[in-house]
Amino acid sequence: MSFEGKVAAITGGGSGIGRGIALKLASQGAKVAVVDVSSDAAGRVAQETGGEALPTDVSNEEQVNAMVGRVVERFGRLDFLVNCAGNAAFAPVAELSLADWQSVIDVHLTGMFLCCRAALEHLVGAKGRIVSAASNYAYKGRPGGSNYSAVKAGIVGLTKVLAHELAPDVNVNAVAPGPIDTPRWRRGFEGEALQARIAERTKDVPLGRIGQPDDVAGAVAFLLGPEANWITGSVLHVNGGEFML
Amino acid sequence: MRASLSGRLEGRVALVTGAGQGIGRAFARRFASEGASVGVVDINLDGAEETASLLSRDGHRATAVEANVGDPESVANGVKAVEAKFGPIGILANVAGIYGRHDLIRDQDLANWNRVLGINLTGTFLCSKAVLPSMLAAGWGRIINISSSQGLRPRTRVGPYVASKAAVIGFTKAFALEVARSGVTVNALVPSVVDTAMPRENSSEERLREQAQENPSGRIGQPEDLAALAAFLASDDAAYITGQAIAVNGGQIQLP
Repeated sequence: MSFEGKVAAITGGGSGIGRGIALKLASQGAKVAVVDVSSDAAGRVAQETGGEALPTDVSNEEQVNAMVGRVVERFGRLDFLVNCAGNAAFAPVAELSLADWQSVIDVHLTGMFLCCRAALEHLVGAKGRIVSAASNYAYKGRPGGSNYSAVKAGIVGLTKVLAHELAPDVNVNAVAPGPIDTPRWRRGFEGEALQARIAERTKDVPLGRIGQPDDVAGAVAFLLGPEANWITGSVLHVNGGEFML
Repeated sequence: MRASLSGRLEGRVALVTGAGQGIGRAFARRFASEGASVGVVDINLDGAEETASLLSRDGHRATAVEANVGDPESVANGVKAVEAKFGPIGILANVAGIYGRHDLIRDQDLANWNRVLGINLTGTFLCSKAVLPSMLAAGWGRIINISSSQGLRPRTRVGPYVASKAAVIGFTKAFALEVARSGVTVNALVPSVVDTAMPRENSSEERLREQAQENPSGRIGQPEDLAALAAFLASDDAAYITGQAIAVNGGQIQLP
């Protein structure tokens, strides 16, 4: 499966799942635009992939429009938009500030909206694809994750609407990862404490292991490729069987 | 001389039921093009042989086997025949399926009910059981079942079919849980109408055109659309995906 000649913009591409997707697409011949709020992270992954670093705050309309313009100027086209940009601010609703609620909405959900809106004329012209990162937590709640579950469910809803609006030119899907081993997930855990955390998190995962960014990247690459020609408006769950819908 | 598309399934042995035509044939062709040896199973031996010779002509390894998926002995013999030729089966696609008689449930008879469930659901169960020992021994397996958008958002007059396709999803999840620690994944495809003999025999050109227009993609499915998803699920890229019912329907119905 080759993405030779294709151009992919990956938001949140500077680390974790986004980085895993950027690496995968580049390994299959795509030119990647690594979009991330961290210019250091974007720069590192751009170097790893031979792509272009585009430091961008996806919650900022002007920056997003400029970013898409820059991609098209640099590469001449845009085939794939992968929305992975996301932040986190966990607190029970009773303690969650409006600012922390809003910032998660702004990055995950409004960011996805702004990027899709800015990119869609190019994607339609290229008969391209959109894939966005939802989550198990779009479908189940956990204490402290109100803003997170809200935006992940929102990403699913927006995916389904865009699938209708952009049919038949652009297929729009989401992936819903389960537990994935990323730097953010590890969050300062090391050694035995990390092993214990992994064991705790995976005890209810039927496949018996934590997921890797590459597991998600494989699913995203499938959704971006010709093999997914008749798949749109769907959510592909990559979770080791932890969640079966 | 073997020609393989991407080599993802190189060295694997696949058994596809209902492979004498339509979706099953497309699965057999797709798996073979990616390097698998294929056991082509169908209740109709002529169809199975036709599929097998298409594969052989393209330089792939295939063997045609006549079997009734609703009959445990027939299934056991079929599995034995494929494994005698190619070795332990690693990929099973349960594609054999029928609509049965079209009638309101109140007018359906038990014979038709049993026939539809027997092939669509029990066939899936029997074939899965029959290949499982090889998959457990290898610590690797891929089972791909066929549900239907009808199973979740049905129309009327195909009650037994609807029930069987919804049940395939339940079976898929339960089985996925049971074999998860053994390197075997189990998933189901949820297609809407696909361009094969079965809908053509039960519908009209006009109705199929209508269905194409109603579909967001502007077309009905082709067997290759489903085969492409099946090949992905059989590959290592899908190793963390199990127990899922995956929509492949041009956006016709949107699942959670």
